[in-house]
Order: sequence, then structure tokens, then C-alpha cells
Amino acid sequence: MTLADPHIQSRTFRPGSPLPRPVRRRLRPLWSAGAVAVAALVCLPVLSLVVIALGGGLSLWPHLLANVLPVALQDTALLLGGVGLMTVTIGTATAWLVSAYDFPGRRLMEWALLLPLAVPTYIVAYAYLDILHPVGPVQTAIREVLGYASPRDLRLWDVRSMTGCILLLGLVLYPYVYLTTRAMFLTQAANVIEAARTLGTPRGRVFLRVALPMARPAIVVGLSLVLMETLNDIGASEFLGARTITIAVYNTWVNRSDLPGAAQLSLVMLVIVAGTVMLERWARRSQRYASSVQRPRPMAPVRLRGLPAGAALLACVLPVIFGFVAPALYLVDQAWARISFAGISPRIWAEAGNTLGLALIASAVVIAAGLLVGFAARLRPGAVTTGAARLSTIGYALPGTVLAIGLLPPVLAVDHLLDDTALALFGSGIGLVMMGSGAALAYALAVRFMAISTGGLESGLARIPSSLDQAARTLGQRPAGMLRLIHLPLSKTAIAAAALLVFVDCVKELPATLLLRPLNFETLATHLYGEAARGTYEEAAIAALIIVLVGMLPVALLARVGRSPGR
Amino acid sequence: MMLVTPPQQIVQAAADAGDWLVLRGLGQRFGGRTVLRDIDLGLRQGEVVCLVGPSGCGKSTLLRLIAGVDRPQTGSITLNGATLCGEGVFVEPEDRAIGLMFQDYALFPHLSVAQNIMFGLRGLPKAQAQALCNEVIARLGIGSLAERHPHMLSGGEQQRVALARALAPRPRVMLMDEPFSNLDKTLRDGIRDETLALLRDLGTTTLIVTHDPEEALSAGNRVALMRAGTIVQCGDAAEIYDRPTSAYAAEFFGECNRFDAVCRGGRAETALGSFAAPGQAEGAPLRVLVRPHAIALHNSTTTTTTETGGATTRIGDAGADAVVIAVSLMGEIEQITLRLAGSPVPLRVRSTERRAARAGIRVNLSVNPAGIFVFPAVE
Repeated sequence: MTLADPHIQSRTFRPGSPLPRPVRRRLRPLWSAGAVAVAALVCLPVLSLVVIALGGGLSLWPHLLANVLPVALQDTALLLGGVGLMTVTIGTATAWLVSAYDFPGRRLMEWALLLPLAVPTYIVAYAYLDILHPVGPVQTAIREVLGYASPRDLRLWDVRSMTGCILLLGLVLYPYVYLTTRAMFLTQAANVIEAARTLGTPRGRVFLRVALPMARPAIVVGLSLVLMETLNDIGASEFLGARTITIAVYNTWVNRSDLPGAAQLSLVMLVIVAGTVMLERWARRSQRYASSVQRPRPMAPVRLRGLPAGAALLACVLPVIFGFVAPALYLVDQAWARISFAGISPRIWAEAGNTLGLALIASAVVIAAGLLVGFAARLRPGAVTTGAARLSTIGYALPGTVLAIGLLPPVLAVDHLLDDTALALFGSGIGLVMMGSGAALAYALAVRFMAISTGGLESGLARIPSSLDQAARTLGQRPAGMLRLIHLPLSKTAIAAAALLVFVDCVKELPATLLLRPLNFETLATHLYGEAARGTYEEAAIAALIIVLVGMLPVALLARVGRSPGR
Repeated sequence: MMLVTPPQQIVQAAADAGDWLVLRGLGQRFGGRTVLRDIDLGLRQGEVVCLVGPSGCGKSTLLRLIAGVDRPQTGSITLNGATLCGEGVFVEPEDRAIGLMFQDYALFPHLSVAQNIMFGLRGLPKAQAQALCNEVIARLGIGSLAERHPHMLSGGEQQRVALARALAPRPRVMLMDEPFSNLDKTLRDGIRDETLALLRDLGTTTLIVTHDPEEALSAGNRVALMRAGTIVQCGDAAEIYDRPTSAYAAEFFGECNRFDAVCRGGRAETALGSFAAPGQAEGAPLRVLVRPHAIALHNSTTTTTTETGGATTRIGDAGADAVVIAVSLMGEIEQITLRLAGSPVPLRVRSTERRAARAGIRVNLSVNPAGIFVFPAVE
């Protein structure tokens, strides 16, 4: 048997036979259909939100306009403005310091500045409520130093205020700005800054004249993510007494049981969300023009010594201490006290198990859906698959509360349909299957975090040249086989990274979990919320500590973003 | 517009009934831009055909249509009498048994060389696949590379592996997209000869896409020249070089001296002399192309002698004296640049004969008619 032997039967071809296989019906439209289905499922909550809102009538609006909206909009504006200002200041300043200057500890600070990302907003609020409580460690210490006996004698600032809320959210959300801005400084800045210096800009003015204007799009991208997170927050605002529109939506539904009213408020919120999304899109577009440098070259940092070096280090250390170290130490201390006193209760174990299971299922769904969308775009490039890919990512902008409210009616409709069908067929109902099993919650989490998966997979797949696809096909592989043998192994890392990010976000998620979880189903996050809402401090610190530890996983991953190889 | 050659002769690329691979009327548009138009081409079994043209002329697109990774908007492709596409039929690339080799080789980076080669043999029984893989590895002399991964291979090694991978499933037609252009110039000729010898030995019907005119002339049994989405001429190397049917074809395969002229009494009058312009209308604007090696230099004192045999036209008496501007040695050949009376552009002459021409001397010229092509000026 040799290659030249004309009688050898190749898999596909026997000389003399007209065609090796009958022409099969092509299945590729199924990929497009799958991608469209994913996009439709993601868009469903938004559509249903509009439907409920329109069906609700306006009877509630006099009350909303008089009592709810003015305060809610004012508080939301204050919170967004304050948190925005704070995160942009801290994020940009620290990004510039670690990029443009070299000082002892810079390498460490480069990634340590990301650590506050591991602390969800509701946990930082929970921790500081106790740390700064009138009988907490800080105020007690201050009183002792000043010689006062009780809180009544010296009233200190109360963290439960709008200012407190802004400060705490700013402390854990600034890394979004830091991350995007640092990536920009690392990849773009060197040439432009050197050019500016040769054109006579003094070193000290480079930041204001060149770096800051150039980094504006990156800052705005980070800022828009901060604003979305702020709008999503429900725990911190509630613990700290900020009456934002997010809280108003939650209360209208949970306490007044007024779904149409909540939906109408959600629409108001969606307008704000749309604003932040447009802000982000605009910034990303401007960023594309900025990234014309072909070979990114990091800028050579200026070495600082003595006092300036100390000041730079301090400026970087403070946000990390207040945003991560202090709350984390508090949690470790409290958790340790609790564990040494009572051990870890079965309840915490059960909740950890619930959290793990839920996050795993949601991540699997998200990654599978992301692969479907990404592969469809690969196999059938065109308006349909591209549009589906874009639409499948809108969930990242939807606050969890809004998402949950939009999701509830269609899920309930399906549940009732299933129940009625079961009743008709078997003579007994099966209850609300999707709500009761947590499927509705997994669905919500999947919608919310689809963007991570689609985005990660898209960039992973984009690195595989299309000639590999053609090679695989001409070598006899069907599309499905090609994806399994070529694309899946080659985008393994991208898939793993996306899965990790989605998993961690699912563990941290609070609002949607709170609203859509099955009866008596607690996760670590909802446990913490429950205790904080009741004002009891029992095992919540253990739950919070676990969440923070899990949240530290992606920090290691993100620390590499924007870092050029070899640095 | 009148053509030198009647249209039927241009479409000599069109297929015979006995051809193995037949393309008929293939057309492709991308977003309003016509990439391919009315492509007719036939390949006989075992034949090596070179598809040549400047970048962007649609030759790679044509290859992709034959492989089935793209779908033509019009026309049909048949292989061994069976329709691959057209008339509502479309055979997926994996069902065509047509091999495609890429300019960048497209080796799977996560698979070893042996696994890359085995990729196309997945449907076969294990033992048979292994035997075929070993066979092709032995044939290409890449046994020592079998366990390596693509990133550990040199350019020449990658090329061999890509060839082995495409050949292993015994494709009915082998398509190669610029298979040698990523190789060092020093390696290229050797690997090309080796590859072509192997393909001929195996009797593989092959279509090679290249932008290199020399490669096209030397590599294939036949050459198909493309321009802006159409095949403008197809024939064997000598035919396409010696009898170009358009100024484009003449200039594509070798630089020419250009003269513009007007047809007067069936002849084209140029600064270099008067040439026959058969079939051209009186008064039509013409383009005269003269290959640099078809012009011979003579000492200006011998102007009056007449060549015998009629193969050479002496023009000296028509005033086609020229002055040498520069002489440059380009290795095997020598290029002489001349200023020709009555012509604004310098005349280039190439010769393998080294002569003692120096800048400033006056010479007489003669032209071999085989190197003169007369076409209508407008194409």
C-alpha cells in the first residue's frame, strides 16, 4: 500500500466513484438559530419589563412623583456623581503613579491596587458599619484617646450617610478605572509622552497636558463600569441608608408587592443605564482611534527617592488599606472569633454548597451559551450572528434588581403552564418548577454575566486564523468536529479565564439572587444580607470572608491584563 | 474595439469533456465588488496548472471556491463528472476530497507533526491511517520531525509538513496557495523542484496559485493568467510567453519596451522602426511592445550591411541609431540603457553576451520579430 497506489481507499474518495458521500442536508443554520435563541433569551427580561410597565397604568405615579422619585433620583445622582469622582481620582492617580514612576514597592502595588475588587460593595459596607460603629473599635479608640466615656459624650461622624456610602463604594470600585487606565498607560503612552517632552513639555506637566487627555477614553470606560456597579448595588445603599432608585425599585416590589410600579421605576433606571452604556460605547470608539501604535512600548518610569517616593507609595497604599486590608482583616478577626467560639455551623456549609452549586451551574450555562454564540459567529459570519453576539451581552448593564423583575413574569408564565399541563396530564400539579428549582435564578445570573463569556471567547477565537478552519474542513472535518478538535483546544485558556470570572461574579452577586432564589434557599451573599438587615452579627463574617477569598481569584488573572510580556 | 486575437482563442482555458476538474462561468461578488467573473477552466487528471496574476486579481478566491470554503454566486464546478457546486448543489468542503495548502501553512499549533498529518485520516481504520501517515512522512523525509510541534519547525520544515498533511488523505485535486512564497529565496527553488517532482510522481492533479511569473512559467504544465477577476490567457509556458494575446500578458511575463503608434497601411511606425500590424484598422492607436532581449546592438559603422535569412530586421537606415547611456551587469545578463532618437523614454536592451559597450558610444539596432508584439492601445 503506497500513496501512489490508485486502489487504496481513502476515507472520502475511491477513484472511479462519482462522489464519496451523498450530499447531506446542511445543519449549519442550526448554529445561527442557536445564537439567535441565546440573544432572545437575554433580551426577554427587558422586553417583559416594558410590557409589565405599560400594562400597569399610571395610578401609582402621583405617589411615585410626590414621595419616591425626587429623593430616589437625587440620591442616585449624588451617589453616582460622588462615586464617579472618587473612583476617577483614585484610579487615574494610582495608575499614573505606578506607570510613570518607580518607587520602592511599586511592583507590589501594581497588583495590590486591584485587591479591593475582591470585596463586593455590600461586604465593604457590612464591615465598615461595624468598624465605625459608635461602640466599634475606631470610635472607642478615639474616645479613649480623647478621654470621653461614652458615645453620648462625643458624637462622631456616622458612616450611615450618603457621604459614607460614596466613600465606601468608591474604595472598592476604583480598580475598574485603575485597570483600564493603567492598561492604556502601559500600551500607549511611551511614544506620545516622549514626543511631548522633546517638544518642550516639562516633565511635571506631562500628566495634565498629555497623559490625562490621552487616557480620557480609558478612564471613561472604567467609569462607566463603576457607574453600572453602583446602580447594581443594593446591599451597601440599604445598610448605609442611601435611598437610591435601586432601593426604590426593590421596595416597591418586595414591600409593596407592586410589580407594575417596580417595572415602571425600572424603566426610569434603564434610562440611566442606557446613558452609562452610551458613555462606554463612545469611550471605546474613541479608544480605538487612540490605539494606532503598532508595537506597544512601556514607558520608562522615573525613579523616585526619599520623600517623593514615600508619598507615592503612601498614595497607593491608602486605597488598598481602606478598600481591602482593613475590611479583610476585620472579617478574618470576626470569623476567627466566631469559629473558635462555635465552629462552623452546618448552615454555613449548606450555604457554601448552595453558592458553589449555583455558581457552577450558572457558569456552565454561560460558557455553553457563549460558545454557541461565538462558534455561530465563526461558522456563519454575517449580520445575524454578529447581531446575536452583540445582543447577548446587554445583560452586563442590567442591574440585578431590574433583571429579576423583568424575568419574573415570563418565568412564572412558563411555570404555570407546566403546572397546568401536569395537572391536566397526571391529575396533580408540580408547583412552580423554574422558580422552585432555582432555574430562574441561574437564568438571571447567566443573562447578567453573558458579556464576560462572549467577550472572552470572542477575543480567544479571534486569535485563531481562519486558515485553520479551512484546513480542518478540507481535511474532512465537519463544523462540529472542527470546533471540537481545533477551536476548543486552542481557546482553552480563554474559556477557563471567562469561566473563572463568571463563577466568581456569581458567588458575589446579591440583588438578583435575593429576589429570585427559591424559598428557604440561602447563599453566602443572601445570608450576609439577611444578618446585616436584621442587625445581628453572627456568622455573616464567615460568609463574607469566603466570598472575599473567592473574589481574590480573578485579581491574579486581572493583574496580568495590559501587562506586556516579559515585564 | 478590435482584438488582435479572436475571442475564441482567449477562452482556450475552457474545459474539454474529458477534463477532471471543470470550472464553468464562476462568478463572485463581495459587497458590490466583482472579484471573479466568468471563470472557465479545465484541469486534466495529473496535470499541474499554475494560476498566476497580481495580488488582488481573485486567484486565491478562486482556490477557495474550488476547495468549497466559499460559495460562488454563479457558475458551476464539477469533478470527475460530478457536480460540486452549481444547479442547487453544494458539496461541503469536507466531502470534496480536495486538498488545500496555505501560504501560512495553517498547521494546527496544538498538534504534533504526526497528529497534524493524521488529522485528515480520522475516518480511516487506525492501522491504515497510521500506515498512510508513515508512508507520507517517509516520502517527504520528515521522520525526525514527527513528534515535534509546529512552532519548533523551520519555515522549510513547516512547508513539508503542510504538504504531507494535505497529501496524506490522497486528495483528488491539490490546491496550493502561494506554497513557496514564505520560504527563503535560497531554499525556494530546491523545495519547489522537490515538491513538483513529488506531485508529478503521485499523479496528483494540482492547481498552484502564485504571483511570481517565473515560478508560473517553470512550475506548471500549463499557466492560467488572471487579471481583475478573469482568466485572460491560458496555455503552456512557451505559448503564453511567445504568443501573448494582450499587452497585459506580454508585460506580465517580462518587462518590455513600450512604443505608442498609429496604424498606417497595416504597419506600426515607431522610433525603433516600422513593424507589421496585421488585422489592425487604419488609424487605430497601437501599443508596440519589444522584449529587451530581442534587440541586438551593432557597431554604427556596419549600418549598411544587410542581414541574411530574414529573421532579423536591421533598422539602422531608418535612423534607429542610439546612444548608450548606461551599462549595468546584473549577473548572468547585462542591461544596456540607450537613448533612442525620437523617443522620450530610454530603451532597455538585455543580453547574455558581454560586449564592450560604454556610455556615450553610438550604436545601430536590430530587432528579432519574435520579440515584438503589436496590440491595440486601448484595452
